[in-house]
Amino acid sequence: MATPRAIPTLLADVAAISPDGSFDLAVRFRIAPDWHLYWNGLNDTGFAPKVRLTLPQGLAAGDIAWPLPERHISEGDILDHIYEREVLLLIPITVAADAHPGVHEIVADLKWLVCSDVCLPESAQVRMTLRISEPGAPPTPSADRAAIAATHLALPSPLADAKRASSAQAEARIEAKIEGGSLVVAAPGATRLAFFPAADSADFTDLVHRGEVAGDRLILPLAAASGRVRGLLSVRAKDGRSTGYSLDLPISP
Amino acid sequence: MHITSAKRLLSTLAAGTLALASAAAFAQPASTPAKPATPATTPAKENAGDKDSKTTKKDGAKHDEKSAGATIGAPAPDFTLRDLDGKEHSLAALTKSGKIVVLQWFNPECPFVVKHYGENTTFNDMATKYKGKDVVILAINSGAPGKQGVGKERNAKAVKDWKIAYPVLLDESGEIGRKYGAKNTPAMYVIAKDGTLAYTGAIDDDSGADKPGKTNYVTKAVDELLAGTNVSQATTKPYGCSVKY
Repeated sequence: MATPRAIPTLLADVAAISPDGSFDLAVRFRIAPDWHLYWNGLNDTGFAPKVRLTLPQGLAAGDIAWPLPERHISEGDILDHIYEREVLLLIPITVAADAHPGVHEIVADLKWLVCSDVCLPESAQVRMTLRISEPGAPPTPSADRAAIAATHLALPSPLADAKRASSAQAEARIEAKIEGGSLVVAAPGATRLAFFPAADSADFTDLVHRGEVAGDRLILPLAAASGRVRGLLSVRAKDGRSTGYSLDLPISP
Repeated sequence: MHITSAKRLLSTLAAGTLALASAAAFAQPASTPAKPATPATTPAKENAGDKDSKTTKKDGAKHDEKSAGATIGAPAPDFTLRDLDGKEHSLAALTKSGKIVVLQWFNPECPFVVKHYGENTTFNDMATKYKGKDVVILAINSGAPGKQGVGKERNAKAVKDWKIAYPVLLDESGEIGRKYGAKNTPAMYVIAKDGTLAYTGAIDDDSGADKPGKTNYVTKAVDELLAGTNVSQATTKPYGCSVKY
């Protein structure tokens, strides 16, 4: 049997949580060098990992929060959005008020596609134990709390929110709009801008060549006259770090 | 990040599955939403400083037309390619003799192709269905020398193992794949009797690597063409491994 190219682990930011509480579950993939997994947005040739959770009674899961990926272009203008080295997929979990205290198990059945220049579909089942404490008890942080918190902090946030934030001045000046049949983004001070469309976004005419620009202004012509532009904007600052923002703009005729 | 050395890995589903893999079927996402038939796409020419406008140089421009050569309703790009026995197949000749032509971009080691052979017989069933009708099916492998699934020997083995009843054509320069804008295996194209492109996209509505889908978009399109009606769903989003240009 071939060695898996991506090793998953199931983590949580708490070791114990009380009824009526909430916490973050995380599926962490450690990915072999030169291999990658896929984001759940637009990809020419890959699909994102699929997660099916089996939860103890009283626990409910929200949607997976997908971290900011990177663009990956293969010969033939093939465009995918990928994760390399390591990725944590966060899933918010709520605990009902009448959940039973005790030690419980969470199981995740996973399927994913991991590729280098060839693709391997892989799957695994991972599990972890979680203690539901007595009502009112404060959560007990887990050893993975810091890693999950860092991932949470780095998740793309809606651009409109960023503009309202009084802190990061530079962020407040990022503008994204539909103008002249293109997505136009201005981010003063940025050294690189890229747009990663969601799977259901309106189409662009030349995403491969125009979806990423070294600089602070991105003009990405649309192939559609109606619909919505949805996806992630990746803004790289002078320090080399990229921040993600989610966009959801209508194309008004 | 692109590996130049050939990695000949077993990409069968069995090889990729860990010991603890659950045997339960995962619910595949609802069929990949088919995009409405795309209008004829011409690259944006209005930006004066547009360095990305397509060039068609015969010396092989690095970025050939995207899928501009494969537009619904437009003449499909012509080709003459040799099959594994060295015999030439020409689209122009097939069109001239009144055939509907189905093109299947092929890589015998891509899991999304493999799932349609062996136990499942999507493509062989299609060949059987259209036997004796004016429909020709051709597989095209546009992988470059040294890449996964490339070469006469490897493809001949697939033909033998899977009893493939139609020609597999080799396009090792990738010229024809690029003209069609083929990015995936299996990406499908259906060419009407008048030589125009009638369908482009996926073979069916299951974009996973496990099993064929329930709706075969290609047989649907071919049946509509044979009946003389319009193709109701001219484009869908193709799925599969990247073509190994």
